[in-house]
Amino acid sequence: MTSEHPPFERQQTVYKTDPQFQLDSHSYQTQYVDIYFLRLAVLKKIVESHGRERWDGVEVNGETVGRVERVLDVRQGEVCWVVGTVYMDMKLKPNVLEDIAKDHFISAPPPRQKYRDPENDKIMIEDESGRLELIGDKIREEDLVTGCVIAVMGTETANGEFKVIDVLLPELPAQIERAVPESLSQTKKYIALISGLSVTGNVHESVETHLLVEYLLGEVGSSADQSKSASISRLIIAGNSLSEPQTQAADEAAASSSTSRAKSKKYGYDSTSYNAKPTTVLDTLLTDLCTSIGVTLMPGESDPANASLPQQKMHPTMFPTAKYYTGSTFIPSTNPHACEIDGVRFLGTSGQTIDDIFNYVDGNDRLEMMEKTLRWRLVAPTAPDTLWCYPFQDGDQFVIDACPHVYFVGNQPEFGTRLIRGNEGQIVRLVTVPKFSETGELVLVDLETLECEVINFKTKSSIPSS
Amino acid sequence: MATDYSSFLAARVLNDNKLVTYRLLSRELEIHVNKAKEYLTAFHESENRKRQGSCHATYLVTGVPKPLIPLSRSKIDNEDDTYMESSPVHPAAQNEDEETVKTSSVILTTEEELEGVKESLEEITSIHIYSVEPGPIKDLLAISDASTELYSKFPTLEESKKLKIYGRTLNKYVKKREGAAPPPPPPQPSKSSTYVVPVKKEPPPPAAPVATTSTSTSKDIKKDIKKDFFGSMKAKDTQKQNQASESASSSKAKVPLKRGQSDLMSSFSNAQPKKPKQPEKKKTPPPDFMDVDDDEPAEPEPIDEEARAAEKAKQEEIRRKREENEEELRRMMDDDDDEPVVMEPTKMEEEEEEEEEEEEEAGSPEQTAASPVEKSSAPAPATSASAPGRRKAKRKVTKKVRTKDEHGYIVTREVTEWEEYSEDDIPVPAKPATKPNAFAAMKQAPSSQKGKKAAGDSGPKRDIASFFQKK
Repeated sequence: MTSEHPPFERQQTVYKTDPQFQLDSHSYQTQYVDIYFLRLAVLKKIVESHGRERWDGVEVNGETVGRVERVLDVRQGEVCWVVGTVYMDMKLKPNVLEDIAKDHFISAPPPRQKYRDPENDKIMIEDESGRLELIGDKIREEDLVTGCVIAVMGTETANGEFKVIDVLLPELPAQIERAVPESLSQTKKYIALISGLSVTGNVHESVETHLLVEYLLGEVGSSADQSKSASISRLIIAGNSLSEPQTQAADEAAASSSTSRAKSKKYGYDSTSYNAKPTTVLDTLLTDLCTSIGVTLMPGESDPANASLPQQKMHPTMFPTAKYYTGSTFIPSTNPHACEIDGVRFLGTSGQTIDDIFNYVDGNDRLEMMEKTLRWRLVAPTAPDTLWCYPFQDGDQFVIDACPHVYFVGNQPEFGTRLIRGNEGQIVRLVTVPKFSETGELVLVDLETLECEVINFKTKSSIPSS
Repeated sequence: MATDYSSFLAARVLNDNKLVTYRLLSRELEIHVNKAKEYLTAFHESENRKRQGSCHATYLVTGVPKPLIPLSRSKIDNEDDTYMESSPVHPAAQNEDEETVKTSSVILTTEEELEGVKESLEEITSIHIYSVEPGPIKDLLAISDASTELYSKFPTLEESKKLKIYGRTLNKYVKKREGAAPPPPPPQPSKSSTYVVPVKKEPPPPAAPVATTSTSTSKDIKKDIKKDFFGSMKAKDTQKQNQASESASSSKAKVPLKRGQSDLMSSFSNAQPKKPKQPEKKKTPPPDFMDVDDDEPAEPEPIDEEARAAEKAKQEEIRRKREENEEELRRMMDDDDDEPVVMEPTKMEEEEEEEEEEEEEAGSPEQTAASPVEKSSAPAPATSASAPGRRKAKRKVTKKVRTKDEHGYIVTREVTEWEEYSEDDIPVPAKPATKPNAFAAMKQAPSSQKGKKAAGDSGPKRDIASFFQKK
């Protein structure tokens, strides 16, 4: 019988986790301001070198462009360039102080999708000396966000604003050479990316999730499908494996079932409302997967991990059976996650970073936002302004030092991919990974060609028309 | 095998009206999943041949869908690229990189929809039966139920050895960790707290009668401690102090006492030495550290030489015991020094003890400082002689005792206690009767000095006492 169905061997890859986003201490005692200093200190040098290359000796309207060390040293009428951190002064951006003030009067308005308001937004550049407002179409078109470090060339106007003529970004960091074989080998190796499994633990768990598991385990389909599935060496789950806690629904259910019980309302956490189901189900699925395929589990926005970036790995006690595979196939990891698989460098987040940038800029092109973050060399530029993050003291860990080959972001509205090229020949595959619970899509990345494939899991049933 | 599967399926599907997936069949019969799929197909065909519609199936189709949506994706990207072009550094090479992404579908469908699904696919990789059920299922969620059931019936962890039979993709690098998870750590080291208690108790043991009582009391204390074993931090502190004071009183105090006594003894009459001692006593009784108290009452005044000798021997023994105890205690303290000690229960106990002791020695009304006697054999006679002037009195004192209970709340209780005090505190008139004032002052001076030296902790109390004495 076994000869009839020869077993498939899972393709193996060498997996190295980059500890870049692991936190050693968990002290939240310190101020966030250090992040900006550290970030500027690192990125200023890079942007300055770009600036020298480009603007040294350049003349604008017969005037030679000079370099200015600090933002406040800019003199009116002189054409010069300066490096600093961008700050977006947006009226619609959430502001803690305003929130508190408003709290006392009216109920909070629903959170906005976009902070952008072209009429009133101000773009500023700042460093340790001060701030300068930037104007001009050039800078408006740039789609900047708070926190990115740029160089601007221009001149200060009579109003004390800086009219921008040219802008420079840090651009893509250096990339490690990837061994690309001359001819494509017969055996393909894939890395599967997925996000937003949103396991609810309801009795009717999504059929697609089960299909996915069966597919990855090589049980479903013909031997052609099974051999393909065997070539997937690892699954990376980019966040939101568990759905948002449905406390509201539970509350309603409780209220309807017995109104008397509502009396004994507890302040704070009510342990009786704890539902272990979602984690148990996820644990079962992970255990099943781990018997055959490597799984990297990143926490996401709705997962039980710390809310601030970098999210640390989910605790193994939540996976009482899957944890038996830690060290071999089961790898819980941090939220921005960097790793190297067979020499291919992966960098990915569970989506919060891009979702937040989405609020700042016009348009819906998430791939472009991803590209921007790479060119800014910042995984999470908007942290700590509008994105929760850890108050780093020793260095901004969100600075990208090594250019990844594959850069993925989970929990995006739809799948998308693009290949971008840097000035120094860097090639990066960008992937937006959709939410599986909504699209049923699994993304495969070929480790050799960096090409993407999508596998769609669907169900179709005849809905009886009564 | 063939009969195996058909009878199994017949029982499950036709009799129990249950849904059987290929996975379940493969687990139940321990066969390869592909074999299970074949069996299901065969069963489905044969049953429907027998009776049309008696058996219903769901199919799983894999293949490449006809391109409908994918193209639009790249369009969106192209539109936005105008921005990119305008940025100076950026290479304009992007648009070529857009590629149509290979897409394949895995579709689970009911019998009825199978044809439709097939049509939607450009290329079909495989079709196989996924499950067999007695009738058309309205909702494919029933299948997810089956999958969930499968997990509960065949937990992956235990099945891991059979996975090869089922035809799962093998991965020889998978290593399951051995052994169960470590048991959860014990919640609180509550036990150790019981050890500490004796510590406190021990130092006092000085008096012979106490020895027996102390054991019993310590047991009681243990019980108490169990009640609120969390103890308060304060208790901890006081305990440490306590210890300190004990050691101080036992080591330092002894020496000065001796000296003082011998001096006074030799130079003055019997009655006098009492007074200097008195302050000593005062030092011991401070309400917080009552331990030392016990010794004193325990001290019966031997009246004749014989009794005195016997007493001495007894005391010698006691002292030895005590030292042993202390040694033991110290060891225990080293082990766990952060154990809270509950103060009030012991206090009460000691008070009781005291009373008992008092009763015991009812005959001799006056209390001399026990410790001096113990240490220096000489002074004994003085005590007896001094007896008449001396009275140990007690008064009721209400104290506030603060403790932390097991819920972590700080509880303040008012505790009424009997506190021992000596005439020295009040009594100016008594003294002059026996001694000239100047003389008394002389005595007191050294005694107060002693007191200071004796115990840092009880110092302030002593000071107050001496303040009263001067008056």
